[in-house]
Amino acid sequence: MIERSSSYSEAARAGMHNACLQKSLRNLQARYGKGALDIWQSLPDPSLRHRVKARRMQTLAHLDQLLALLAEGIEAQGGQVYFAATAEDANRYVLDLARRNGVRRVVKGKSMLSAEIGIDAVLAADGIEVVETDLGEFIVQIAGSSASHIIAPCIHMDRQQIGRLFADQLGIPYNEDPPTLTRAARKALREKLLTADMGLTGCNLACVETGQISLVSNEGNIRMATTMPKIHVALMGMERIAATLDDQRDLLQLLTRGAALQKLSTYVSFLGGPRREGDPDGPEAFHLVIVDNGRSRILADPEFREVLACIRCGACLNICPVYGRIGGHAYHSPYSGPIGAVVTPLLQGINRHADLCKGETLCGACRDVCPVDNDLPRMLAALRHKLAYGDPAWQVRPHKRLEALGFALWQRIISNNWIYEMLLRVVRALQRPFVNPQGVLGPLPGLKGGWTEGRDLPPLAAASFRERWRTTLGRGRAQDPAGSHKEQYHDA
Amino acid sequence: MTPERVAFLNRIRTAVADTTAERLPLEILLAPADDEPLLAALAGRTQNQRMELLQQLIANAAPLNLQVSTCATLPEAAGRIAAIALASEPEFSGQKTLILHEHRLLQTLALDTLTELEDIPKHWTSRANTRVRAHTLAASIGITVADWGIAESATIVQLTRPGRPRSTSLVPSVHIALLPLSRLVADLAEAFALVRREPEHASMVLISGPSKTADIEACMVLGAHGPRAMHLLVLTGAADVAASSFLVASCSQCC
Amino acid sequence: MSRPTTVTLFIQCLVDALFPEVGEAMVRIFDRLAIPLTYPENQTCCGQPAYTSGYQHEAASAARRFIDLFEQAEVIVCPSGSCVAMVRHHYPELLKNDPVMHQRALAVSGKTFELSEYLVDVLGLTDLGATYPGAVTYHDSCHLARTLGIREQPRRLLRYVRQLRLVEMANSDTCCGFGGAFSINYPEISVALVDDKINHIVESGADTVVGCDAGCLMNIRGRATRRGIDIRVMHLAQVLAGGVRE
Repeated sequence: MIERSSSYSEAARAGMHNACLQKSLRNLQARYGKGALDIWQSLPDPSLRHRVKARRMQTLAHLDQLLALLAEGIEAQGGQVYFAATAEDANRYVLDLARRNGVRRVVKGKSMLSAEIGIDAVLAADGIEVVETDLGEFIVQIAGSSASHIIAPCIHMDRQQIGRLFADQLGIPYNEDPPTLTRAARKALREKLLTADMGLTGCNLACVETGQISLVSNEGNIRMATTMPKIHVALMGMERIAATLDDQRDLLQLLTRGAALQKLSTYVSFLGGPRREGDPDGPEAFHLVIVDNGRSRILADPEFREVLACIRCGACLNICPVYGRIGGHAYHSPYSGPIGAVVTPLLQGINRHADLCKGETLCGACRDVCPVDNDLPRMLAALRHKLAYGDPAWQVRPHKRLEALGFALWQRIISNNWIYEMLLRVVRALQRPFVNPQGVLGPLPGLKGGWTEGRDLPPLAAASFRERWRTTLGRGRAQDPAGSHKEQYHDA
Repeated sequence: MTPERVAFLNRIRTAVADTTAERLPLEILLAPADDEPLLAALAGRTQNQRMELLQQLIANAAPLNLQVSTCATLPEAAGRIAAIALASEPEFSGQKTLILHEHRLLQTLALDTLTELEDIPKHWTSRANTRVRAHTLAASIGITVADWGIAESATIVQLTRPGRPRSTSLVPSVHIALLPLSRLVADLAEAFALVRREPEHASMVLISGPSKTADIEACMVLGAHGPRAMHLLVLTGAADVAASSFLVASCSQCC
Repeated sequence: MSRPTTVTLFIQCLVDALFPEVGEAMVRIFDRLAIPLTYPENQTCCGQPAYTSGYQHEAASAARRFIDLFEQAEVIVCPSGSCVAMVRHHYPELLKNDPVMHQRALAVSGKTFELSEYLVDVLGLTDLGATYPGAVTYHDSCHLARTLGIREQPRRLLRYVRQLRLVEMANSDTCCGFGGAFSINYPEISVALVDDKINHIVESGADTVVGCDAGCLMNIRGRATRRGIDIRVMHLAQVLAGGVRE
């Protein structure tokens, strides 16, 4: 996983001050987030997402059986399947495979799973050249940076930066024209794609019925990486599986629409084994590496199981107002945005990523736009619940003792009307020196400083609503059926 | 089964133990949707309806920069290919060359007889050719025959067969695909219903236009890693009839 | 003519302590409609702040108290979408392990309404005889619009206010950045979001922004005054009660 050199808030601040990133995200969200919502609203079958979600959950309920069948299907076509319990297992398998076959150069299709397990560093440490071939991933790779969006990795860089980067790294004269830069990358990467020993990709969706995995791309790099090198290794998150071709079709169409409003991406490849007799191209060996790395733990918890229905389309990134301001680097994970805020803590540690659990407003836009009807706000609330009290099952320690104390105190206050009113009176008296000529509270230190640094705070009103009700508003009305009960409530 | 596979699957089995009561028999879970009605609709499609689909295909192709033209006779198709070959410049090597799939339809076009193309080498991806990879790398135009076309998304379906490799539609900088009108279907559901009934194939690709990327400042550029231009020649009329005679309904392998 | 249903007022804690004029406006609206009102004086908070911060025990405690205080009501009306969402959507879930409380929560959920929802959907009213000269844009707060699905009702009511010109802003339902504790724990991000909201309000040409959630309104107004931007920030109740000038 990506090393953390700054906190969520610090990285968020950097993102908010990156003018290029801000402009790109604004354009992206204006077009794609809303565009996806429009598509869902005009579907001929309005229940499609709901049905697909139900089918995903049903698929997950049979996951062990389906994975076993998938493996059989791939092996029947001459492919090999390795079940990797951890990232280390997956990396070791691929490294051994590379060593056994004298692999010196690997070309990669975009794969977040590959970033999650950190395979690039493992291969590079062994002297193997690893080349990202998706243009955006290639750019962030040679820049020594990391992707900030699932679909558009270098959205945080402008053409001038990329121009300078290419001048440095590709030895071409400085140019900032996107077509010229793209052609330079095309030429440089073609040579790599045609001479690589191994192609390493992810897997969008595997299908049990056909025994084939599907891979989507617009650039053609994935087709190249899975056709020209002698070995193809596909890394697959264990949950990325469809039972029938109908399921795979439904999911693919939701994926390409959710990701970039496309009916289909330019290329969708289906493959399940090495080349056949009479094929002059295609890999001689195909390896599917199915990875757990913490997914079975998520699967085992009914509260979070549905997050495994995610098809990684990125629509939630394209609609989230928080992501739209802070950008992907603030999440310190290959999975950013709303999905990243849920999946990263579950895979990597809830305390470690407490900011991801708490650093959004739960506005619900992601839930509206998700093609598989995932309820991410519900899961964020569940993560916050674990941080509040701790949870031994997920090895969570209570996150902020002071905050817990604060809410315990809060409960006392709101459980007793007398205490509540007394507190209001005390604060009303204390606030007087802080109220400025405009009638509001300006910048304040401490807890309230969080608010008042950027905003004014209204003072407590001279008379609260309940006081006004008692003195004037409520006078002369019929008896209250809901009861002016005597204070009968006590803490539970 | 290896021990690590058993352990892996057991871990999952345990994780979903709470759903055991709802588990379906696998044959029910894996039962494909009934696509007979789709295929019946497809089979009953009139020529007029297919022409409507063609209009849809053309409309959907435009924003994808997929260049569609119609050819009513095989000589017209051959002439169109020649025109494209003459107009396009080689990108990676100094010389224009063609590489074609081993397909009776393409052989019938008799491109060798066209004087416009006499200076342009033509290679075939036939099983007998031991230098297919070299020829493909040197080629500026790759020519294939689509197994099916999909009107809704302006897509062609290309199955990999012996003598019909993947690289032909991928490595050269221009791709020309021929599609008989009778093989044009309405949507992905119809296409998959047909694919499901195909004999086993090593791989398949759905192609919806030339390669593209918008990774740099969201500027769309054609030609990232695949072909930078793609032409789809839809064979209508006599060309369609001729093409169909080469393609038996459910087996594109024998041609 | 049957006796009109008595409305029991559920006044959000923020309204009670900071914006009592919103509660007053609600009272004026119902008085003008000759609808009897009651107000359980011991109410304090629905528990939402605890819930969104993860403190579900404390939130459940607030829920039980609320149910005790309000369950005798015929109907409960509240000027806050997020509080109504809390009662309708989270109370039953919070109390699901106690079958009796769960049922009581469901019963209370079934008769708790947001103000605009109650006026339009239950009472069938759209014209309350109000006047407000000004160009008004409406902010769709998140829980009201997404959790409760209430978007048209406030707009319908605003359209019938005399002299009021309703203009839509871009991204009216994009979050204003309040998010309860989020605004205090992640203030920079919160301010960035409310700046976007204020920019959209200004770009719409409106001189007033109206909403149905005091949290959002407090957030928008607090930033606008700090930035020196002159827009009126009002609750729907205030506009419908006749448009009390600030």
